[in-house]
Amino acid sequence: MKWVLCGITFALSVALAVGTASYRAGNTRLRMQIEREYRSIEARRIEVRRLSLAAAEQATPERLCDRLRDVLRASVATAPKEPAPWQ
Amino acid sequence: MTRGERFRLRLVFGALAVVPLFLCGWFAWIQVLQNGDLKRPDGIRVALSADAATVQHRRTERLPGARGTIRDRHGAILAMDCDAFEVRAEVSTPKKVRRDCADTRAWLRSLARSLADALVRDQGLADRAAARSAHFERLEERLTVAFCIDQLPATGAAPESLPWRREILVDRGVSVLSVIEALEELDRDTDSVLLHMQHDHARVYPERQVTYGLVGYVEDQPLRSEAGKLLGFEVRATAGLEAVQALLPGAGGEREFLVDAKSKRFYTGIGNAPESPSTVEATIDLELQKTASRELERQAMAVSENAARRPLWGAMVLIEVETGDVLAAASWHRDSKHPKGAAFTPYQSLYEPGSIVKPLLFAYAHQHGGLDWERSFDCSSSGADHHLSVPEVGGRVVRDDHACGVLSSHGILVNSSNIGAVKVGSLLTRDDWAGYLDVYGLRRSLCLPMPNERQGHVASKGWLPGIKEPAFKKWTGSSYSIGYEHQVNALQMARAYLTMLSGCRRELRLLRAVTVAGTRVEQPVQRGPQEFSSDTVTLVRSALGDVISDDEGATGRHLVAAFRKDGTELVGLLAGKTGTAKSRTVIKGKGTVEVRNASFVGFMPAAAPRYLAVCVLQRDDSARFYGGSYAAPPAARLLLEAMRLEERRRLGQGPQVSATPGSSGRGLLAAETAQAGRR
Repeated sequence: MKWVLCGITFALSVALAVGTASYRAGNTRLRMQIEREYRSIEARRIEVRRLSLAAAEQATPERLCDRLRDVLRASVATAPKEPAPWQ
Repeated sequence: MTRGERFRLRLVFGALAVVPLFLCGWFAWIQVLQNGDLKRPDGIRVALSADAATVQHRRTERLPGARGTIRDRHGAILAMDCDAFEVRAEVSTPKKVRRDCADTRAWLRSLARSLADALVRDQGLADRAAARSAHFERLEERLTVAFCIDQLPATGAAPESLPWRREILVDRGVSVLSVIEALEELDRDTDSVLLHMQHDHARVYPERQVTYGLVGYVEDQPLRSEAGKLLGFEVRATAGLEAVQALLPGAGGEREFLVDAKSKRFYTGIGNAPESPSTVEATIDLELQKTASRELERQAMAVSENAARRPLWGAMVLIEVETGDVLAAASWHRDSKHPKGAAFTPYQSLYEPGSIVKPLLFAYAHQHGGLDWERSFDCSSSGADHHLSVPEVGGRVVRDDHACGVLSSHGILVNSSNIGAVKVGSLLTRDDWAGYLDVYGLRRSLCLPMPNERQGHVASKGWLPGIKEPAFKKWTGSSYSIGYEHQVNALQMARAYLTMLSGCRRELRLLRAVTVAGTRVEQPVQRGPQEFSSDTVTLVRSALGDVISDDEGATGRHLVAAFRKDGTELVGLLAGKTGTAKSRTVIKGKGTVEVRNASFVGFMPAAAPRYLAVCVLQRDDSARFYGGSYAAPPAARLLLEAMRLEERRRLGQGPQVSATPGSSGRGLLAAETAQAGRR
């Protein structure tokens, strides 16, 4: 009987060791995932800042006016000509 | 249990007992016999402790503090630090490619190509092919230098002495998400390359074209030890507002993370954030700055329309009279290839002011020199060049632009008579002239928070101790009376007029407030002791109002006529003084040449000035170049725009865009903006 108890104890300690190791491995895997997420969020935060500044730069009255001029020029170029009186 | 079974059990448990015994023995070997540390192949001894184990897989990431932000008086950004990554690659050549030099070369070329591909993953790039080619060439060169590829034989195994692991800089200022993701993908897929994305900042200037000289720039300058060894690079500002000390980045932050044997990262926390950047509020009004740049450029280009030569340089400044705030300061150069190498003309280009000093002289002479404003001066001249040998200054010959008769002080200013001005100047003694230069600050620094000011100065000969009073009056005093023998920059002239119009010594202000660590410190408006009575100021101001009128002989009459044609009535609204000076200056590569300075100082409204503008254009030929015709129109348009903008803001409306397309402040591909090199 005592040998059986020894065996069970040993098996339990091995199971505990394996469980702890797997728990720690899961923890590490999650930490790695969080780190990846963190870096990805950082990259997006930087992108948002860049885009907001770029948008502000592009939306100055002068640039919007230039864009409008380009659009108007393009529409004038593609507009059909007025028919002549004899047509 | 049989004997055999007992034996087998003992055997199994005995075998299991060997494991802890082995571990105990191993620990004893390492901890006792190795005496507490372990010698690594590279010779470094590693302490055998739990701390050493932790340190080995702990890494610290530096989070640098951002440089401060520069804003205009209404909060528009003029310069700011944007978050970005500095990407470094730790490259280890794989063993199999080290066996043959040709393979090593090919592998490194392929790596440079992959990195270049990742760097141009940004879909918004204007010319991706050109950008890719530039990145590839740069990266290939860096890898060649790092791995000493030039020293490799054409074929055969690489020598053992050659490095097999090196770190190179891939790029700085990487902030585009698609590029970051491409680099991370490359990092995951390539075992021999480990990319380090270090936090960094990229300096951006949203309205770069119109603020170059004023805001300045930062440069990476080498940092060397006393022995001259290169220690690294540091960011330094050598021009413009960027040199303000408060803009220096605050303390950086730190973030720890863990790595495994393959350098994969593990999260431990967000760490300490860096100090938030300071904010410098400039007095500049971005909308007026754009107008000033556009008008100055337009005028400089218009000069050449009449087959005349374009000016060498131009400067225009706009000042708020109440506070002394510099609202706009524009600079224009004919020959500069890049604004970085060109002087910021309102602050760094000196010129002889000519007739625009006459109101300053008259105010000083009325207050301190006993000038009776009602006194008449005979300004009659003779000859085709309207000259007169002025007896009050020992017979020095002075010329006028046109014939003037008997004039009062008011008339002298309106007609801009040199003869009359010299006669008024003769009322001042040498000490009075010293006081004049001192009150108006013509020899004093502007004390603006920008480096490399070219301070105005006077010709020293007249102030030598051996020069007697009559000789001083004849030569120096009479030259000062008509704006010669001393040089000023446009901002100095603006300060002198500000002093005259305010009646007390004034200083210009370029910073409104500085916010550091959440504490906002306002810069005070500086007012010195009273120098001129309100009567003096009113008399001079009234004369300057009549300069911009239809009166016969008024130097501003052509300006009035030109604006009236466009539907703008300037009489009663604008006051000012025109100036035209002929002098000599040294130009690099050309030696001493004759130049003409056309200048104008104006303020608006004429009766109670709120805005003051100074415009100067210098042309390097001897053709006539009048301040009233060339320098006055852009200054008048700038003053009108300032008034218009003030009214629009009062009504809660935004700035109005000119219907005429120009180039200043309108570039879609301005360098150093957040959109640099992008569509």
